[in-house]
Amino acid sequence: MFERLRQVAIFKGFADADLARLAAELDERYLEAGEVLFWQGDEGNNCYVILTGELAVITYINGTEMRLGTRCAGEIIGEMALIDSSPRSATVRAVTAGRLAVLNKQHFTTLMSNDPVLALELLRDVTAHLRSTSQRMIADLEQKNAELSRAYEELQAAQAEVIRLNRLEEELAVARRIQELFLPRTLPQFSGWEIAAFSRGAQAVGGDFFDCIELPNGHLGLVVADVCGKGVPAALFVALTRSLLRAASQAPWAFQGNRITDPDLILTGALWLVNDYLTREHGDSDMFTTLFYGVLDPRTGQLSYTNAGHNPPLIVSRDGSAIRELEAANLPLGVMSQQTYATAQTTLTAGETFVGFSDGITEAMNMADEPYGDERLLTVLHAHAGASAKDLLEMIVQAVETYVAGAPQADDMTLLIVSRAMLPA
Amino acid sequence: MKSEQIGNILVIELPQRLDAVGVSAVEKKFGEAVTAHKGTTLVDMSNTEFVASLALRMLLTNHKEVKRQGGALVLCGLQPPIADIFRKSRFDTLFTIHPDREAALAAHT
Repeated sequence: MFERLRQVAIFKGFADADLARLAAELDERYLEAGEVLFWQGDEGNNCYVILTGELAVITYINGTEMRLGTRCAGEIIGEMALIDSSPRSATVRAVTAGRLAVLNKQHFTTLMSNDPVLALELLRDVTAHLRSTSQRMIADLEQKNAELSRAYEELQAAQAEVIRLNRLEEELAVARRIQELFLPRTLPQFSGWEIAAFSRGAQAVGGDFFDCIELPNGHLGLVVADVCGKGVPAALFVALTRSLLRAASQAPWAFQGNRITDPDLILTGALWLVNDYLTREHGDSDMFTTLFYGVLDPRTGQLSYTNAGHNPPLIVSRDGSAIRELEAANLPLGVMSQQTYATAQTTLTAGETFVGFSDGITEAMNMADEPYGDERLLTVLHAHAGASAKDLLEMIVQAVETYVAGAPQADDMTLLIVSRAMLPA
Repeated sequence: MKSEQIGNILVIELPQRLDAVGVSAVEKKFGEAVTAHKGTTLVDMSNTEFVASLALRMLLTNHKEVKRQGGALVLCGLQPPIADIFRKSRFDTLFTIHPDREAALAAHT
């Protein structure tokens, strides 16, 4: 022990006799690598002079171990608890195996009071350790603080994005409710006829619409339309086209004392006007609308119609054995100005059903990206020709939904079904 | 989307599916190629099996644009369902349409 203490720097001022006396009083302690000398919070009655080996001073922050420093041979450890009579401020663990000289409180006090040089030396060591620990803590806090600030900024940005998206979603929900008002709120009722309709956008707002416009002389305008594309751009054109078409259909008789009642004149006049307006005012958008427009006389079943590039509606015979297309092909609205729209005439006889639809029905895609197709629609119509308009509509929607089997809706879907009763009332 | 210059004709081959996704994938490149070429562009649609209305809009927009510069979009190789869409929408009256690439090149070179 004496030889070992002799090599320790803080005892260099001790006379051999004094050191020998001290050495005789001290116990020696051996530590294995990894062995804990004392735990943070323990009561401290001894301090130690490291004779050989290396010790780590560690503390725990939120359960994570943090090394405050290391002490080597020649240094004193555990002295702080003896100075201020407080529990251990940190845990000390052996990094390598080593030997320690154990000084109890009385040894320590005696050494301090008898040897001011040693006391000062020790005080210098303690101060240096405290200083380096506090500097390390400050640096660590600064780093943690910077990380926190960064995380906070990221959180704020994410929150702003969430708010922005929520606002957009709210606006779209409002737009959707407004767009629903661009469809008839109630479908007209005519004795001996049944009308059913369906429209569902692939996105919040859609590019399809249908309409039932009450015209003079008890005539009924039937409209199915599809603006190219979908979503908001298409929805804006739906609002525009639907409004123009209604106004243009009703204006001639409202302004001219009900003199214009001829279905063909209403059709050609309204379409000419709407197309001219769209190409003149909105031609730069290159948006076009395919549209079927028929004027039905519910008393006779006569249907005058024109088709501006839309999927031809189908007329299903009473037993489903015959299905005919209402083609009368013209360019879609908004493509070219000064268009004259050719009309055609047919008659819905008792038991016949008119089926207008958009390509979102026949081009509904399944998971394999294969379209529902005209053939499948025709099969449903053949099989259920006698059904009511409402039932037939539900069966078509059901058949399409079964076919797509949960694949996301590719395009806006619209159906307008008008059936004439078997026995006219 | 493949394109090549044959004589003074720019030939562009459109992809198989021209749905909304397919159109947005080629729209920019198609428009740039057609307007940079200025003259006659032959659009070969023989691989195209599906056209959404946005594909018709893409053709119409570029046709109108290039016509202002004295050029034209000419179409060829329309598969029967596509030809049917062009007929029903009367888009067949807006474009010169040839049965295949050979016939189109013979007519325009």
